[in-house]
Amino acid sequence: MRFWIAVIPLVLFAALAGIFLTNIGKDQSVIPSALIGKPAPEFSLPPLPGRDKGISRADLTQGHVSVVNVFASWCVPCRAEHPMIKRLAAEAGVPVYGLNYKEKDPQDGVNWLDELGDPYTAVGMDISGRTGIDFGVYGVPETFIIDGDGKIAYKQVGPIDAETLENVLLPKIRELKKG
Amino acid sequence: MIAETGHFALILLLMLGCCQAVIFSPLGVLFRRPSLSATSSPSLQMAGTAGTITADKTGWWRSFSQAAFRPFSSDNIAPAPTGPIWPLPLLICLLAIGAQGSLIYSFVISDFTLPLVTHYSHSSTPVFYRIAASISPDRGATLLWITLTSLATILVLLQNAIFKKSENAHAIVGVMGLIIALLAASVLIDGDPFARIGDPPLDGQGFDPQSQDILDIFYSPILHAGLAGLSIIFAATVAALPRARLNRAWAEMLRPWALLSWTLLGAAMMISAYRAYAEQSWGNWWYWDASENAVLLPWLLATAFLHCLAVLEKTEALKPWTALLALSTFGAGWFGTFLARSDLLGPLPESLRASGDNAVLLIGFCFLFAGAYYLFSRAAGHLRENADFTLVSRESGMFINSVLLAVAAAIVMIGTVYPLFLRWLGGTIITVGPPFFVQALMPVTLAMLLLMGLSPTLRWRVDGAASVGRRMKLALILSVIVTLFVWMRHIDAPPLPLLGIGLAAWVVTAALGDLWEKLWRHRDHGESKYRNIKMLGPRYIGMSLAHIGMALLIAGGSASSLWEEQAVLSARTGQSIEIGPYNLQYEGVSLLPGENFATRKAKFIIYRNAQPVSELYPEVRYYPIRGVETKESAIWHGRDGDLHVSIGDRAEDSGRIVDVRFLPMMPWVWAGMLLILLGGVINMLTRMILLFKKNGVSAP
Amino acid sequence: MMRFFRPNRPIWLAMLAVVLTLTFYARPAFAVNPDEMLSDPVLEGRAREISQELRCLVCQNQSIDDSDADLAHDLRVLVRERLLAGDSNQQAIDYIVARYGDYVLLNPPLKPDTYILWASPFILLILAALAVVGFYRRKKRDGRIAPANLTDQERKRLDEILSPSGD
Repeated sequence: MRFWIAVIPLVLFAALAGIFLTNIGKDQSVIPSALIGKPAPEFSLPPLPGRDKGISRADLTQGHVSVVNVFASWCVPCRAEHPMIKRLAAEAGVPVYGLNYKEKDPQDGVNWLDELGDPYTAVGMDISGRTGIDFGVYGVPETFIIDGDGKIAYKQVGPIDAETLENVLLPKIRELKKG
Repeated sequence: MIAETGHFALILLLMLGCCQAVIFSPLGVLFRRPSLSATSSPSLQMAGTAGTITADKTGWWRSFSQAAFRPFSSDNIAPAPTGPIWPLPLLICLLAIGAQGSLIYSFVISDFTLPLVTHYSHSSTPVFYRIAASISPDRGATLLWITLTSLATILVLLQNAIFKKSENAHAIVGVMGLIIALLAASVLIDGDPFARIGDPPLDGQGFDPQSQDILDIFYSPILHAGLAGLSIIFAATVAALPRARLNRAWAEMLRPWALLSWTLLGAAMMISAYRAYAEQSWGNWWYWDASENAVLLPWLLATAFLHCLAVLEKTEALKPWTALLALSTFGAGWFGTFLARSDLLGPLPESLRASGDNAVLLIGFCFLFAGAYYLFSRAAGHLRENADFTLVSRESGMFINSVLLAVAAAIVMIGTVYPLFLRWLGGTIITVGPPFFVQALMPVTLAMLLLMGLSPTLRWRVDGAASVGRRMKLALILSVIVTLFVWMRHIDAPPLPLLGIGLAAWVVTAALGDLWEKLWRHRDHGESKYRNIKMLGPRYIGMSLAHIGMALLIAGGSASSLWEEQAVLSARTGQSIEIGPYNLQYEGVSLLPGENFATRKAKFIIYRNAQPVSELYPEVRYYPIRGVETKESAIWHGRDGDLHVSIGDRAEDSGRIVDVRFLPMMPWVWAGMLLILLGGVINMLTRMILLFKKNGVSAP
Repeated sequence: MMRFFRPNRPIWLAMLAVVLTLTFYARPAFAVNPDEMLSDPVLEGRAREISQELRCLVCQNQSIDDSDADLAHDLRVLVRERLLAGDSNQQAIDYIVARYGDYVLLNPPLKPDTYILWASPFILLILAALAVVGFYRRKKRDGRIAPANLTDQERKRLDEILSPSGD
């Protein structure tokens, strides 16, 4: 009895400590999306000024995999992420739609794309941020992979780097394309 | 150069801490070979372990393991080592102060080759806040923790020299050495504050604007002084455990330390509550976030410990429970600090972004606490109890209340770490926010308040339920009347705040009734009532103050949540805003330069019954270095409530957005907190005076 | 370079932290803003109630009602729109939860994942009660209990011995 009084709490304690130790350094600020496996929300966004094609849910239900990337000209990591979006658009072989999130001035988004290049199949403008909320966006940039039925299959929070692109996003897209 | 000196001092400190831990180790009493006289001890021979004693040629490990797993007996332990006890702790203390000083110096001269300085300071940061930046966030704070812990070691040695000699002084110093060494290792490995980089930036990133406030500066030293006090409690308990000598002398020695750290932790909580109230929010003063819970946890356990310690000192009862509380109070302090500084529970606040992962801090904690628990479990069965009290008695009241406090601490703990576990187990990601804590702690708190009113009026050892009922009748009736009165005036009030107010009334009336009983009913102790006042004793006064303070805090918190009035509007210069019994006149905003910020300062004149009472200046500050805006609310503590005013942006109709709140009875909360602190201080001071007067004579 | 951020943590996370700080803290803003308030005081009251139960996603334990963050502002406006559209409080909350998950609820919902959490106060209280009862029973069994039925004379004598020291 006395042995167990000594040992059980210590074992419990060691288990707790183990959990804490293994979780240290893992970022806890990323909140997995509540929308994984759910159909992408209904939306329809106008095009950027001077362009003719916006995006809507209909674009995502064409029977093929697609990607929605949430970006904004005021968002610093978006700039860092941009080359990866270009690679994604070139290598994945699926349409990459841009969701231009909460620009103060609609022209900002156009200028940004003019400066850095435009990898997007089409870009929709979300001035109010309402579509962003429907997608569960809480910090730009965020990237969604949508399967052929228009269901959200994967969500990446934060900027994409080369490693995430090669090891996470592209394999995921390939897998979805196979069906 | 200065930073290198500090670095060297820190490394030396780590080594000396280890030396101190080994030389004065309490484990020594485990694996030091028993003296010859012990061989004749019958208990040893009965235990059949006499063979180990003669095994002189076996290695130290063999003798240690034999000792560690030997059946417990207080006889088979050699006497504590003798010899000079002062040099090492003194040296460590000097080194700690040196390291601390060199870090402060690096901040003051803005030495941007130190990344820590770059991260938290800027050439435009006022010198005062540069010093604050060197002791408040992460690494600097741990260094401060070390310094204060080493100072506490010196103080405990002084206490030992001036007052009653403790038989465990060496072991205490040993454990303190271990604690200091672990903290130093954490500072050096988790993230070295003295590390330099080759190409320093031209300037730093500036002090966290949220913390740029006088009160915030004191938070870190007060909190870490409290933690240092807890480490003395821990060390003294660990030192006493191998011989199971948790006796009256032990309690007497620890009492000032328990009071000290309890008061300091309380003061730290009060500062963080007031700062949240004035800066972060809108009349909210407790968010239940990790850094607040990190102080609340040890405070709750320290409160429990303080009560049990009083019982132990009086009657030598509740020994195992008190020892467990002593260990876990320190554990909670350490673990809470770790949690608040790690990113386990979510992204860290701005002031901690540069901290390392604190793995060493966690490992050190596990090491200390597991070791201490092992010693405890070994000694627990041998702590001779003198539990000579009945169910209805003062001891019982304090004991049960301490259990409730521990339950409350456990609930806070579970609520704090639950999201982490769920995430780890692959469950959903949830938030455990204030509503959970309020609901989960409610039953415990109500029971605690009930007991808090009752138990000071109980007699020691034995009391009769009937006579208690007779004594408490008046308090009961009065508090019911108060509750009914409040309820009649606010018939739609929710039950919880009402219950809070009622129980607060119960605590206050019970305390006053008890005072009346002691002063005027007990005529047989003296001729005049003044003699009775003297006989109450300072401890009684401190205790009553703290209890009444707690009641005021609960009543004020309940009432302000019940009757809060709020107005958010877009105000124009000259506009008058009516709130509660007051009228606020908005006098416009002026743009002013600050030390290292620009501020928009608004002026409000408070009127009551058309008479100007005071003026308020809420601000919005802009700190260009970090590009951060902070809101500094202005608060006026009126006699019937707090007026809480903040300003925001320009509204769309070109007025100024103004948020005005009237929180009735909110001053009660602050007064209550102050009373609790005052109770602790009075109790502690009189304790010291008493000790000086007695000068080494133990209490009867 | 020093360890500003943990080396094993990808650099984008560090940048995310920076951008979150920049985008959500730096913008001059104000928790509940007169522009966004509803003219109907009953609806506004309900909106405040709901906002106080929803967590600001980028803050520490703050509700969207308390937060200055941009997203919190958007969510507050959204809640008010839902209420104007005739949603009940629960429907409005569900609308947000459907998008952001249980994480936005400051009050964790009761479901299998949180059974242990919600049961913990009761379990702890019961355990504590058992321990206390066990303590007194053991004490009684060991016969270390003082006689409780004293005469008045004895009690008075006991008072004299025990109470002068107060405390």
